[in-house]
Amino acid sequence: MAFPYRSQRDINMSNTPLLELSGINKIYKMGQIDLQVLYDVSLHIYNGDFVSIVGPSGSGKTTLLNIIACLDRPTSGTYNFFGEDVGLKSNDEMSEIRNLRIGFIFQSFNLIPRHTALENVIMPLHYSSRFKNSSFKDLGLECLEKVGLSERVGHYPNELSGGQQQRVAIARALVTNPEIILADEPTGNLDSKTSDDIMELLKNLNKSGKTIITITHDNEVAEQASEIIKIKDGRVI
Amino acid sequence: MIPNYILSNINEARINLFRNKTRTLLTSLGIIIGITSVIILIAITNGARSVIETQLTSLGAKTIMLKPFVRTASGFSTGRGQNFNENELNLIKNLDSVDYLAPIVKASEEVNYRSTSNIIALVGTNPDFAGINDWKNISGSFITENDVKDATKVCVLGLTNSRRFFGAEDPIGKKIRINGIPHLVIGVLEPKGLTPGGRDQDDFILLPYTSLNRLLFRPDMSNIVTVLMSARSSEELEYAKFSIIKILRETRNINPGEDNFDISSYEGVTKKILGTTKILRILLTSIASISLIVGGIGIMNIMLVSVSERTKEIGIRITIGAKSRDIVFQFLCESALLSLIGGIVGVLLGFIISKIASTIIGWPAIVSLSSVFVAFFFSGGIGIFFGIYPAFKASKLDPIMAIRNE
Repeated sequence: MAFPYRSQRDINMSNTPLLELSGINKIYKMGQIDLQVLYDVSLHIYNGDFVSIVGPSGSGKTTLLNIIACLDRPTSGTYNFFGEDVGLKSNDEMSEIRNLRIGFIFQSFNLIPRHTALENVIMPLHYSSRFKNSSFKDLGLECLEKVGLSERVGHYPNELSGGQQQRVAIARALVTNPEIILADEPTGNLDSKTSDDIMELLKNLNKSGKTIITITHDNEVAEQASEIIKIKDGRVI
Repeated sequence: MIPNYILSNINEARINLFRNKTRTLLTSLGIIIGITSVIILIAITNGARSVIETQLTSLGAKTIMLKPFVRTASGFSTGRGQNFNENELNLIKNLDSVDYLAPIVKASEEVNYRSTSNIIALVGTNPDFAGINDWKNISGSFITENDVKDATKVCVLGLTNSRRFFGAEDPIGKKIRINGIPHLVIGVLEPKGLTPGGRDQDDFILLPYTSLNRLLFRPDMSNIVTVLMSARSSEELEYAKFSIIKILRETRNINPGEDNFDISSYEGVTKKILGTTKILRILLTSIASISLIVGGIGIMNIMLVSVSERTKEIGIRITIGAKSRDIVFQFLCESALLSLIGGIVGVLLGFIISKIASTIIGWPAIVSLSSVFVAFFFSGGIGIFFGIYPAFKASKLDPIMAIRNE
């Protein structure tokens, strides 16, 4: 399979994985029945990777993404995040990881409707003591400029097109300068032209050094990635 | 300075509450009614208290009476303690807790004006007498310090004597004879009517005590057997009595139990009556508090609605890094602000209504600063207390489920 562009990993030649999942099982208890969603998943993601996780719906890819995102804990198995075992982290420490080291992009953008673009972008900064309040605005504007939305800072989400909303969401994902961007079907709600623009933006972010993990069932999107992880019935294939 | 973290949360709460003005107003209505009624009730009972206190003052509730101790044997007086001298009276007069001090000299002598003649009770005193029993002039003036100093031959008539000697005539500027010596009438006192026992409280003539002593050929201080004083307030009555006793024991060099003076007051009556208003206030305030609790439950209810409406938003916030305490704090700020808005409106409404009520019922409504502060703290506290459950509920949401909520 030919990758459309050279991964950042080839340039870095880094050998220690950023994220390391080994033997991950996830079982949901549904009353009396145990529903196993993930079976013995192991994977390594390196700094600078652009990974696509693909699979049909119900395959467990969202559960896997939630575990990678530190939103959920595996039933068994270990997950090392930057060399540290997430299983040993408290909920607050997991919140901090999500706040500072992971940027989130969703299919439905997930902006807060009564806040302006800029206010949405700087929201993660409120939840960390690392940033000074006086720097919030500059950081937010800087990120909006990166996604080409300098003109729209004062607009509310309902005044923006889908593509523009997704750009605001990307700016929000970038504002704490995380190493990893997690994108859950980032183009699922967009037309093909806008999808291409958003994918271009993600590729550029990858070039600038961000590790990008996306889940999708759109092959066109998946093929943009430097690595594709296929998942079916809870197993990596 | 308030940290920015709190400011941004308050701002967030403000945006949410103002987005839904009708709901905010309706929700805080319970608190508004509660705070309004607490403010009105406290204002009106305070007003009633001050009215009662003034009435008690005119009945002598703050009055302290000092007399030489009278030794008795088998019901007969066998002698009495020494009279009060000027030095002792000056020391007592200088106490902070004592407002007025009036020496009293009493006599009954023949008074005549033209053809009318009668034996009348004479009271020799000083200007403080008016303050102690709340005597006011209906015409003319009262005895002055200079009258006392110079033993001026002036007198002030109780209304009964004004009518007795002058009828409808204006007595001011006329001269009456007391034991044959002319005295200028300088004022007439407002009537106090009869005591419950049927004694006429207005049947007397006031003179400077020095003038009366001179009239009776007595030295100035020797005849002062009674001293009337008034405490600055009914609360300070006990303290004033304690201080007076201390001064007299020190100047007379006597031990407790050997007191050769007698001090008395009507504090029992005051305590009982003011105690009743206190019970009334506690009762009324606790009834009003019930509406505050109902208001608090209203706030809890609407905060629960607000949490479930914003499930998705909470999911987003937790996902991008909000900790449980961030979510708790956000919702507590909102419920506290909601309740405080009710508190502010309630204080304003309570203030306006109690002013209107006071003109209707005809006694003053006193909105005390302390009741306003209590109202603010109480409403803020209710908002926080009843916001705790919804806020914790919000913070415990599972972000994975919450973010999918539409």
